[in-house]
Amino acid sequence: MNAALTIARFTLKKALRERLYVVFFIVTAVLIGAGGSVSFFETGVQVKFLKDVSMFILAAFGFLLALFAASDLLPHELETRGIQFIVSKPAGWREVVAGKYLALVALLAGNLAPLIAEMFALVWLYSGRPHLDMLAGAGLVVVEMAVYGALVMLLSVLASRLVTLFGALLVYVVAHLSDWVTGTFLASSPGWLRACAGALLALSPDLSHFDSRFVVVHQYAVPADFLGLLLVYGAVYSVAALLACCLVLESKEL
Amino acid sequence: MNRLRNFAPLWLALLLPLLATGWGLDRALDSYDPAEPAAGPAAGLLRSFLGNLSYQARGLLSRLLYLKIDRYVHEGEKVRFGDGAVGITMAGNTEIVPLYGLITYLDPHFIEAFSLGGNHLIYGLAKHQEGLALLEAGVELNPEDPLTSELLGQIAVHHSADLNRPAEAIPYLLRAYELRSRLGAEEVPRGFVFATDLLAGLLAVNYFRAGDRTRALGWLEHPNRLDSGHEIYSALGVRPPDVRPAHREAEAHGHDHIEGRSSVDRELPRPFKPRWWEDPPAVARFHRSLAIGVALELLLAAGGRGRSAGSPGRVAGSQ
Repeated sequence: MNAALTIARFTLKKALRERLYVVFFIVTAVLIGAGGSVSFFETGVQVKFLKDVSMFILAAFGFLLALFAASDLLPHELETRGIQFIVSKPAGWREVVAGKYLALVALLAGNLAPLIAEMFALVWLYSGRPHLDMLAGAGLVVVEMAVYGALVMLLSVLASRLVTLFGALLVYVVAHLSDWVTGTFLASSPGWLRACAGALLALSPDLSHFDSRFVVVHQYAVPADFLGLLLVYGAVYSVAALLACCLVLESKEL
Repeated sequence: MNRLRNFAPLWLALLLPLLATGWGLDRALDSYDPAEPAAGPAAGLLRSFLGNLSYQARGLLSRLLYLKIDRYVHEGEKVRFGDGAVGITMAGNTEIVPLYGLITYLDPHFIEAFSLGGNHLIYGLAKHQEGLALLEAGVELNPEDPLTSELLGQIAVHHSADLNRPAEAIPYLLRAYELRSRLGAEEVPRGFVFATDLLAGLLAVNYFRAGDRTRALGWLEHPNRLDSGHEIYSALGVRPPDVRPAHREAEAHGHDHIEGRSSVDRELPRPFKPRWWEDPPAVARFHRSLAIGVALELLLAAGGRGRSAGSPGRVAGSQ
């Protein structure tokens, strides 16, 4: 565990030096701030619009951060042979993968937290009261991106960087449309094709469940047991992806 | 590969139960899907695709379309009321009607869009059936949302004032009153007018018009915004209250809605200013300057080429 934490600390330090993430962060903060200037509605939907736009920008930033950070964490070490140095120490693949993933989660939480605070403050300013439900919605963005990051990490040890990026994009889209793919798109297809597609889709989480943050934006009550179930769901798929990641790395000849 | 052979069974033994658990949880989570649009089995492929788009993308799309529709609705003509207030008539543009359907399909919880759509269809375009259907759809999709009280109020007023069917308005008003009572004053969006005291007054008047004097008297005891000169007081033999209760929500919103009085004490609506690309003279100017710019660019390029062709080229190494 200590080894994983040490790896996480060093990985996070390195990631924080990346200028790309800083640029992403600044652009996102400015965009969320600009969302507050939208005030030309006549029928009183400014706050709803501000919430929606902010949540969308936040999710887009989280997606890009998870995509770029997670796709580079392990391949970078493999390419630069830095991994040989790490695994020559008393640290196995499990510690390496756990450390890298912890760094990713910390990077996501650390970058998204100030943006969530900005969004919360803006909505408070424009509506005149705090919207605590926004915090729950924004929290789901962080959880979703943590789950997605684990999937991207798995992809990154299976394929090259370019294939990983395109594959991860595809996974993001399909993971949001899995019900539609099996239910509507393949509705008139043969049963075996639907079954195969269903089995393949079961390998990835249905990320549309995390879209309940949109319901939160509308101030609809989301039951606590649903949120709990969602967290367990995310944790199960994250652990599965990280285990698969270890399995692939174990088989690699260094 | 030997390493994989050694480790694979162990890892797979861990992985497979996890995936099975994930699949089971997925089924459990599927049962909770409150924002799913009401696309029936007959919905087309594109429509069902839209329905399955990520909620945030759908929400944003519907908000952007609403921006457009809000602009269209306010493209009406300026009207002057007797007391100096100025308003804008709703546009008679029927081509925007399908947009209401699309917006509310993308975001079935967008009460403001249902409200604006219903109002525009009924009072702007005189499409009563369509307007009522849109408002009813909003109520059906959001039965427990306190903001639905606005839609119920609109339906009730249409039944009562426009169709002269007070008995049919009463169930809507009762439900609207119940829902609106759950809403805190600070939670009411700007422009939502059906406050509890307005609804109480409407209930009293509609019970009276439907012939139920007892219930009308009962509702008159609630705080309401009926004008003290309203005929209901003399007809029922009741003395109007001396002091009208202050309306907190109206104060918060900067305007009031009192029967028999058209007070507009908030800022006048922002006048409609077309964007430059919606202004034909500005577009014509742009096209002219674009053509001149392109012509100048071509002229300069041709001149430069002519100069470079006419001048003796420099030879590498020459001074």
